Amino acid sequence: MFGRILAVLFNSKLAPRTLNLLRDLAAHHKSKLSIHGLLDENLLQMTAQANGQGIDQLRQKEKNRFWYEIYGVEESFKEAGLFVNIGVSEFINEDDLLSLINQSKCDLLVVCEPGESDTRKIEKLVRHIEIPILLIPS
Amino acid sequence: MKFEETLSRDFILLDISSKNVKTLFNDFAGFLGGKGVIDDPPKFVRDLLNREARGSTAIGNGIAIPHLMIPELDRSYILIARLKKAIAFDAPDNKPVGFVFLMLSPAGNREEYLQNLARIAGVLHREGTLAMLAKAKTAAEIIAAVVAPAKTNFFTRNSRLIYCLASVVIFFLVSLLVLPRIGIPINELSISRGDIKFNETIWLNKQIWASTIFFGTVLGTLLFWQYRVAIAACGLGLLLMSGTMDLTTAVDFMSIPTILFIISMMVMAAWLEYLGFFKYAVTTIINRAGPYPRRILFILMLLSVLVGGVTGEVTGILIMSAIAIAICNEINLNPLPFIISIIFSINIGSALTLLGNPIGIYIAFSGGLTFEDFLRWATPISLISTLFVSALLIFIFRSSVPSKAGGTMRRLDPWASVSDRQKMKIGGVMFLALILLIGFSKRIDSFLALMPNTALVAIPILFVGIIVFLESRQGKFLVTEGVDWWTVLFFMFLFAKAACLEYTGVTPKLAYQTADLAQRFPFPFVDPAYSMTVTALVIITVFSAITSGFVDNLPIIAALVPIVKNLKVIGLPHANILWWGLLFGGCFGGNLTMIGSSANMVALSVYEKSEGKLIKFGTWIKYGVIIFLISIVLALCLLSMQIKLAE
Repeated sequence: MFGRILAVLFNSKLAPRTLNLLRDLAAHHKSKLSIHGLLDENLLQMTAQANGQGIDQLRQKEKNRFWYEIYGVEESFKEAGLFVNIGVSEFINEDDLLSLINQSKCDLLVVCEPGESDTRKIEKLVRHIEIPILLIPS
Repeated sequence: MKFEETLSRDFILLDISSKNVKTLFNDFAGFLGGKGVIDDPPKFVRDLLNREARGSTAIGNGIAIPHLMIPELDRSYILIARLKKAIAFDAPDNKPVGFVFLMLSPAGNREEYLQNLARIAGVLHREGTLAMLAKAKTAAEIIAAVVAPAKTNFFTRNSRLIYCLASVVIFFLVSLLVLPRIGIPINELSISRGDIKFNETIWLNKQIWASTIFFGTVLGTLLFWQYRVAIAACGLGLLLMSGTMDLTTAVDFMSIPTILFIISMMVMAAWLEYLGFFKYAVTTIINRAGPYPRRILFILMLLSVLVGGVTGEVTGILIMSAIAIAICNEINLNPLPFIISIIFSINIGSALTLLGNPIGIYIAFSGGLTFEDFLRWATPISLISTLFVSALLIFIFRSSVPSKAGGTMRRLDPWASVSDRQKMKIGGVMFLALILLIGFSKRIDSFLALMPNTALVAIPILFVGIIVFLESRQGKFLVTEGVDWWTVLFFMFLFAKAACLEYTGVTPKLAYQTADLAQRFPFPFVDPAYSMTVTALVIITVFSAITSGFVDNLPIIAALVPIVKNLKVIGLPHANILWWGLLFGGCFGGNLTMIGSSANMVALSVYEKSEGKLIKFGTWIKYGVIIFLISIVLALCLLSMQIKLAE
């Protein structure tokens, strides 16, 4: 039913339950899976301000951490025989996610473990996209 | 083993000429086999290809990171390859890959394997790394680019900001020298109007501040578009704090009627878009065209002019480009000629009525023009320009847009975007009623003895009230999300600053200079009674058109509006014609370059997202210049011919 699934995550850690759900979903529909990490620039700036850290270093550190998580997911999914590709990019506003959805040509959007602000981002997007959205709560 | 230790100059391949992924992996296998890293090159290639088959390892931006765990390896290896010509890699962003980082690790050390992968990906996303890799001439430079953080000093990181601030300082110094030398001529008119005061030192200082801050805002907006509200707000704050303008004047200058009108029309357009009205209307008409691409292209261009003329350029382009791409997919044609033609038509159509572009609304309120004036002066010239441009574009694209499509064309479903048919019909009726009432707004003002343009603002506000009432729960969403509040705020700050140029005497000075120029260089080939006005018309139109081709048209028009007002006041005959020169310059000028108008950028991004291809600057400009010249010359000729009819 879903030929191409785009799974996005706004934070770097994924619970095993979410991973299992995602794996089962892709396996059940024989879907091609794109897992994309979105590094929320606003959140990053707030964290940098709160902790008094340099934004560039924090961004690099968070990116590396994100890639580490996502490569781990890619390895385990490919070992399970799934088709998967991955990516990480900065999230500045909803246009970034909209562009990602269009680029991936997906027919299902899965939002993994969204926080409260992430859910609001998705709410804003709803009227602009024509594919179903699945939210996996944390 | 540390990441840095896995990198070696011996494992770098510069400018290899592999033709595809398979030959690339074969090249890798040959190289690594030769170094004794792998024992079984054919199996190595098979394993890599198998992993690619389960998902591309390209991560976008022309980078791929194939990776593999090989049990017999004694340590991790990273092989870096820069390709002579980028190859297709099924990347998520569809870009070909020019840099490949092959990561190999012994089995059983998953932690190090993932750490190294994350490190490579992180390094390659770091600003400046790709440029360093592309420039590198030796293996050592490649390693340095990957290991050492990209060296950027304060000046490199902030070069744009530094150039911007330096330009503002230079502009300030030039104003300091030039503005005192441009005086208001002492004559009966300038004395009776009180313009003579602008030669006094106190006003001179205000002029220097106002013009520098306005220049800074325009330049800052151009260089840092995403921060336009912040820049405009800072500018306004500085004007107030420096005493150049007082608070009451600033609020007066924000042109609240223009803002209310824009907000109301944005809500109306958002509601109709939400109801699927425009998609329904356009699809119904297109379905009647049949499988004839040239006919479809012509109809799409005409509809773009109309839709752009009543909904505004951005809403218009979103609706029309989506439909054009759907049609092209249906009849298997390249959508590029369709998208380019629609953009040109939308920009021309944005001058059709006062609803088509914020500059039209601003000009209408500044010049006291009505919807009927637009129908009289703007609509015919817009339509004639459209016919010329459409014929020309069909001729230009004749080879890629055949007269008849190869197969049959499936009808598009007009109801596909409509969720509530009944409400959509109500929306259509309300929209037509709104247009009609706006069309008669001048008569309504006279009939009800209202101030000029009261009905023009009051009618859309009344309709917003009805829409919000009709939509109940959805109403709040339409007002909060349907209105681009960010842009509205930018408009308010910008209008206040532009009007400050008039208030402080900058634009009256420029108006006297323009009138003087027009008097010294009367336009040849026309009746001497109008030659001065034609010269002013050409100056205003060409200046606004060329600058609108590179910068957002609103700041330019906002700065020119007071000049036109002053030219009118100082007695340039038939000066009302200049309003239309401004309108056509601002709207048609958007066709010159890709960044000329918001519609261009929106459509190009729709095309890029849909087709995965970019329209190059060169591709655009070769059509843009022709269309720009034809439409501007045509508008100037048609306006000059009617000059005696302008009051």
